[in-house]
Amino acid sequence: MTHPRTGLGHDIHRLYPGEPLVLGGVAIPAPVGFRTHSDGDVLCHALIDALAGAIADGDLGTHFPEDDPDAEDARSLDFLDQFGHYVEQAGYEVVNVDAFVVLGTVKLRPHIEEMRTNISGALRIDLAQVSVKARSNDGLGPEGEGTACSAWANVLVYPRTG
Amino acid sequence: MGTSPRCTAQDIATELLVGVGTRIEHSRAVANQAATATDLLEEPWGASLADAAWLHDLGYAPVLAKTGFHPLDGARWLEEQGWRPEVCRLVAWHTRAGTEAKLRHLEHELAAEFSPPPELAQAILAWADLTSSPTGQACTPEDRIAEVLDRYPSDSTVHRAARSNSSQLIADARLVETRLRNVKVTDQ
Repeated sequence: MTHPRTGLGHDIHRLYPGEPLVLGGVAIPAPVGFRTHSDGDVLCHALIDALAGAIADGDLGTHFPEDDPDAEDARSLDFLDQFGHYVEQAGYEVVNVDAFVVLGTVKLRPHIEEMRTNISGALRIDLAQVSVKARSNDGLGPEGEGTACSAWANVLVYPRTG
Repeated sequence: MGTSPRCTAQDIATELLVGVGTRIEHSRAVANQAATATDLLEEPWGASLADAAWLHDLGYAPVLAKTGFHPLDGARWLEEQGWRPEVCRLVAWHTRAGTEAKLRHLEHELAAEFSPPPELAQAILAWADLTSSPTGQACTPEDRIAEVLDRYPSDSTVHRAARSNSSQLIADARLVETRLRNVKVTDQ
């Protein structure tokens, strides 16, 4: 099959005072963050979920189970890097990714370029192939109120040639 | 705030930490402990340790909290205020802060901005911190680590860092206690 394939990914975590907020591998100064065994990076998690969906091979939890002791203290950006290789070995290349993070109480815009740089590095694609956006949710819902942060990602992959 | 290096470390800690839980009581106890061990260090580290003991938790002051990682927030502010590099370095790396920095993805910033202090200086500040309870009572390093692990949820960053660091912290405390015993024996 030589058709392009798309994948959709999503993740959300509750936010806690005093914990680190890591998105796209960027440590963002914030009064709240994720309390998880990995760094809780919902953006990287959503991207892995989307990539897994694009190649119809499970989801984030299939490849990186939460109860895996190796996942403790892990960096989700490293997971994304690993999964990028996995996608390549499965015979696909990433054409582009488009993602957005939803959080209403922390300014994310100043950190978007660093997130894009990290993601393009992890997936070994050009910066122009990576889009990251931020939404405040207009104060609505847990993300808008700042009690949770979520991310959505859409990816396009294409069978490798040659 | 109007603080400057002309203010004493105690003045600054009092101004910024009073009302932040019992941080000032804890800081006073850490300063008292550290004062008994400054002779183990050569200058400028002895005097810097005495100041850093008062100032090590300054980053918990709400007005200073930027990254949420209190060793770095405190050290950055002290540097801005013109404090000696040795004091800033001790605050930045106190009680093996490098582990928590890594969990927060801030280890590169920490290492780039502040060089780690000499091992013995780090060990003494860790020992002083670990032998002072949150309310300023004397305690053992083991009890202090257990108290931190109990106070913070198991999946919190502070708990994970303390759990990961516990062996190193106990080793720090033992090293300092041995050095202090040797000094007393020599003095007799």
